[in-house]
Amino acid sequence: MLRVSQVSKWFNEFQALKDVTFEAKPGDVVGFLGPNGAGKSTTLKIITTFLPPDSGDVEVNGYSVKVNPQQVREYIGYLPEQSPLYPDLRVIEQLEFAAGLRGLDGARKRLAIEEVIELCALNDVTKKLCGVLSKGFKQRVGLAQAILGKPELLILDEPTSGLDPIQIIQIRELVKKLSENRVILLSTHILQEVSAVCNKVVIINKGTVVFSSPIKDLSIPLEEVFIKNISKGLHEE
Amino acid sequence: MRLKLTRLTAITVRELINFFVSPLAYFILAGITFLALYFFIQYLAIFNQYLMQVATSPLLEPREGVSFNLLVQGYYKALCLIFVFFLPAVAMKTFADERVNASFEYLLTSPITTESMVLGKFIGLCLYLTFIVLWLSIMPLSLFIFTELESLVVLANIIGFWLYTLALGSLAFAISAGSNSSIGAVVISIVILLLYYVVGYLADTLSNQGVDWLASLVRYISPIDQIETFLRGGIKLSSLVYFLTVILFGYILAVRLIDLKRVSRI
Repeated sequence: MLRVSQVSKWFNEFQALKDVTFEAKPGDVVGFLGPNGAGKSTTLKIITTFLPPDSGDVEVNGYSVKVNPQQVREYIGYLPEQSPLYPDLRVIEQLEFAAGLRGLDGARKRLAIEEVIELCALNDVTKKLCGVLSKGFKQRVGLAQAILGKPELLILDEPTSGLDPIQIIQIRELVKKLSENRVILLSTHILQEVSAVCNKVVIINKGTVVFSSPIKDLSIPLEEVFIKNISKGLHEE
Repeated sequence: MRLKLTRLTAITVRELINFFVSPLAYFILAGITFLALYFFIQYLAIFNQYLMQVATSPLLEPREGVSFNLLVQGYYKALCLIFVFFLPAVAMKTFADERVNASFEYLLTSPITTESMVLGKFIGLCLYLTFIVLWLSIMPLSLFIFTELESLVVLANIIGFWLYTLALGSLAFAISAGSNSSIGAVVISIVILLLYYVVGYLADTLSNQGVDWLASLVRYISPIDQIETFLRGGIKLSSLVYFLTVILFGYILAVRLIDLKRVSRI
């Protein structure tokens, strides 16, 4: 479903990604872990076709981000780190806008919106302006618009960043609910988040994938795996 | 096709909401209305003074060609200059707000092509500007209540000014698409639109220096020279083609600039 093959990316003289490679299939919730500046967001931006790779390729459902970026976008739901909401739109209008972008109209649009409102527990705020929502609700609305139209690949960039503990638990529960029959790529630097919701982990450091494994195959706790792989990079430096 | 239309409509509707909901848009609209009203009253006062002179002085004969049509023409000419400063402020909103709301990345990763995304925004801008042109045309149209005007002349003025607005608006739109800062976009747009506005004045200098071919070219490029026929009450096909070409150029340039920004983004 998702195949990232030897992707490299340069920003002027700085190499942000070096031969990043990993795969995921439907049902996988991949925890994409790494310290700040490791290349997580750049990788996500390439998968979502926002940035082109300098070498290597990403395939989503067999479509290449280089050759068929438009088709790739049809399969992707994306929640960037900062929820992309228009403060002057009401939640329902924001979702209608997002549904329109997905090409949904008429009864299909209405049903899809009702479904995500229910799933993300937005019933009480549909008439509120996005600009006045709490951070937690903003994330939920962002998530709701990302899952509109049931995209097969859901990409979440730091979805719990800046949320209080209750909101974090709610978002994690929601992510678990959404994981059926689709790939979820969850970028985070919070280890507990990966342990709580993911069944696969990919660790990236300094633009390189340093570890990749199903969570169930780990013989030592994830914290130790992470520290071992990140500190390996530090010693090499 | 229907899918594309749904996506295009979503962007256009969002753009219109952006223009009609934001307080800044109303502030700009109030400012432009006030300025337009000021110029309209000034022209009306001058014209009334002239009529009074003709009526009270037995020696003064009414000059040929002087009619209320001239007042309408003067009003739209004044608006042409005001719009050089107004259009950048309006066009700035189209892309600047996306950056402020962090929704630019969301739009570019949605299943919509850059062409459709830019077209949706462009149509929204054109509809808003059409509304402004009609709104500001209420003043000259109100003259129909008090006096006799040639309807076709007024219509040609409105069409000419509308095309002029869309042409300059499309250039400001393209500059906004290529700029990272909204203030930067406004400043660059004003400079470019001002140069574009005054380019026609070069023609006389060039003509005096004997470079007639260049003078003709400059006259053709000048939007003020192109709108002149409309303001005099006529509609010229070449001017129509000219304005439509500039509008299309602005749209294509905006698409190219967005694509370029996507590739060169750091």
